[in-house]
Amino acid sequence: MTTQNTAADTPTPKHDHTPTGLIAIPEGPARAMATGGGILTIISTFMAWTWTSAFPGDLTVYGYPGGLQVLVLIAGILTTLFGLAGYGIKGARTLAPGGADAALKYASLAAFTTTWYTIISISYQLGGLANLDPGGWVAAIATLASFTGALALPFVRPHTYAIDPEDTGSEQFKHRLRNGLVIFKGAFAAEAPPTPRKLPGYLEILVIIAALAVGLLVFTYGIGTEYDELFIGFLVTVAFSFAALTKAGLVARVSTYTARHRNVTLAGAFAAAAAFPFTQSDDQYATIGVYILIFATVALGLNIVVGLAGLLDLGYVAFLGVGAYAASMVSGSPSSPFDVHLPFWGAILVGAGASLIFGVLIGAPTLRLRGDYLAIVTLGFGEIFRLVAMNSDGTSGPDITNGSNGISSIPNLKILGFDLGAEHTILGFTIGRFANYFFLMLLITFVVVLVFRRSENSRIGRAWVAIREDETAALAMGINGFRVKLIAFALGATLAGLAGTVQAHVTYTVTPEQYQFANTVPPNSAFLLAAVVLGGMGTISGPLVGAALLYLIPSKLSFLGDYQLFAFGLALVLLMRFRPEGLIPNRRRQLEFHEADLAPGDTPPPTVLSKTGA
Amino acid sequence: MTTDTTTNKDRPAATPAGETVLDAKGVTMRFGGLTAVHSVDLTVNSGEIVGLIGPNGAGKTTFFNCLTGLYIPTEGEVRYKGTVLPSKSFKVTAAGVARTFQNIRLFANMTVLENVLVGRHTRTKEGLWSALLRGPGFHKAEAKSKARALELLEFVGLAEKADHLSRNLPYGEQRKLEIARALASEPGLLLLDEPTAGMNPQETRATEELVFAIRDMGIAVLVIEHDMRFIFNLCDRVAVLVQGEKLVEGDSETVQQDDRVIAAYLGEPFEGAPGSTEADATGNEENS
Repeated sequence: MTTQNTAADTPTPKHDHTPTGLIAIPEGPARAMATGGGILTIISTFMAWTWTSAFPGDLTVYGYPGGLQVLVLIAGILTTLFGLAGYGIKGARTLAPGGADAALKYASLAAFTTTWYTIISISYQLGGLANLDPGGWVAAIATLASFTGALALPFVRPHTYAIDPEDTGSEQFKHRLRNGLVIFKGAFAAEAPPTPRKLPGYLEILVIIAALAVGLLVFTYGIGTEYDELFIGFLVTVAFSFAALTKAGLVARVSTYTARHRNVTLAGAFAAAAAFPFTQSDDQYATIGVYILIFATVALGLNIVVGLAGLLDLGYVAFLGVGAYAASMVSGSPSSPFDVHLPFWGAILVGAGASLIFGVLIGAPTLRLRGDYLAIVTLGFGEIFRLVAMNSDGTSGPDITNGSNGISSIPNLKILGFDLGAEHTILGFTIGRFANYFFLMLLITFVVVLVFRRSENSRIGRAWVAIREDETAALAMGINGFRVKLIAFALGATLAGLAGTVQAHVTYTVTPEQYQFANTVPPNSAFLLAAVVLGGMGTISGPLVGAALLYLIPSKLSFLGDYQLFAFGLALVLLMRFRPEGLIPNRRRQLEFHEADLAPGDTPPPTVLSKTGA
Repeated sequence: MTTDTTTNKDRPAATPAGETVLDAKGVTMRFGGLTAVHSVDLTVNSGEIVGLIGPNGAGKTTFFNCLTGLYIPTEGEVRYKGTVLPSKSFKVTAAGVARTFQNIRLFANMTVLENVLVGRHTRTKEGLWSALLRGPGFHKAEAKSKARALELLEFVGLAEKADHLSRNLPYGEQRKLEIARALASEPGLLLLDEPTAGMNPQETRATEELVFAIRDMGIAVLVIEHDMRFIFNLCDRVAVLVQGEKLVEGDSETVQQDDRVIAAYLGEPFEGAPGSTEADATGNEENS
């Protein structure tokens, strides 16, 4: 906050646009400091930061980086590259089509926060600054210098309103604060990158493949982080580095390429996901992978209901439960009331079919409601499902679901003679049980992605969006609202049922506790909805990314313990305040939320009718 | 009144001139104790532009909503080409009556083209399976819908803005888009609810031309409007609704010279009050 206040106090010339930085250092030395700091940061990661290996990750070695140092190294490299790009060096310049300065600020911020977080947690855990080795000091000073230099880089000051001298003191203070905030934001703003020129098709595809490979690498690294400090450092580095890449215009560039080659991107993304089990030496992380995939697939199914048709469904996890229960009962579990053992295809049809029927049964009476009423009723039905499953144990009700013990010892799947429960060796890689299920689940995810993509871009998909936008007008355009909404609801339920079938087999046991409204372990209705909102409503990649984050963060940050739900709530509040359209916004939603966000003095977008749809 | 049903079902737009398209009889709409519309009769013939005017709160929009199935009239019936209109608004649209809204109700976050494509909904049949399986029929129907939508955008002059978000269009163009969207459902009767509200004189004139062009396509038009110049230029027949009841119906001349209409808009002058004759005169002026 201090930087904001100092910035606010400097008078902002209204017409004179001589760009200056947040910190008063001339541009030349500032740039040198930022870039030099970046280089020094890289060097420092090859030195020892502390004397003992008591701090997790071996930071005591000269010669190669370890643990958190790797993250700092990456941030340092980014800082150096963007610093060089700022000098206009030819090769580096192409790295930052959208301007290097804002990117440099974020990259140095990534290095700075990760380093200082490491330094502080070393001193805190080992008891004092004395535990730092020279490398630690070098890194601390280098990143600080680099970040200071980056902040001193000049930027185009956003327009601010002059302070009215007749205002009361507190009003003036608020006004200063607001202006300061605008300027502070302006310091990190970048211009929209120019539209990239068309590269030859194969080059664009290469870029997409490279981006996907980086994505897989980052994800694999994140899943494999072994201690809390490393995961926090990982999150910080990834977040700020991603911001840096965004500001540099690289993200926009890659996304224009992916938009141009949608099928290649889709195929590539699935190839990258399929490569994930091969990067793992044991089944430990494949477990996380398959759970994330189940969670993400169900979230994507929910995105059809919420993101496209705009039906707020708070009991969605019940459909997953119905699918899981139905499939487990016909899969030869000893605790199932039915003595049948269908093959996989039969089980998945039963699972999806049961969810479909359940979806229609719940949808038919409830979809006559709109908005909040629908949300409350679906929440109720979700809980009813859980309670019925809990009480159908032979004492409180009919003996169907075996009560709170659930359907247990579900045998492993066998598809065409391939036993998913056993380990297999493919190309010299050992593929364990969870990896087998990971591949199966990936197939289901592919089906759901395909369903989402195809239904979105069709007559029925447009009808869903129309209903979401304005139900009355949609009806007046000849759309049978109830029918169309019921299709969305039933389709969403069926897709959840598909995922439920696999989930039942992965977890061996299906119990009512797995399908609560809110719980610390995803998937549950609250987390599913959060994954959709966090990732971005109405997009395909949004819920996938959202689900991955929502699964990984609670499972990696074990120290949160009982505060998990609290942290989750806090994160949601912050997200809604600062990025309501989600991490990967739908083109439409981004416009919707950020139209009013323009700083004073900016030109507004083409005339907008404020009373549209009033 | 002709009762013979048209055999020309697939193109409802092409109805022979002079045939009754819309026939509302004794339409009454009560909300609790309030009678918003009381026993209104109205017919619209093919090739005709009929205006519906009346002071604020006269029940014009309520009457519209009764015609389009948004409200179910308490009494009376509405026939479209001889058949009683269903009571669901999407079925009314499917039958061939399309409408626009007084306060524009576009799908704000869809593109201009997508808005018109939504209007094609009733004239296409591709369901979920077709969308998922993407057979040749799907692509053919999509291409056809798209071509027709672009044609309509061309017709209202928005073709080059097909990819804009509809929320970003200026006001006048939003109105045009709403008309294009309504036309996409291939109606035989188009109901326009205050199509020129908030427009400047040039835009109003352009809308006038547009409505004439729609009439020339063989679509009957029923229009609510407050702009008297617009109404009297445009309409073959004008009906005046006052306090839920139809006061007069006739051509522009008849309506303009009807004392009751003037009184309804301007209030009754006192018997023999000074200047009452002038008031009448100005009333006439204002209305012409």
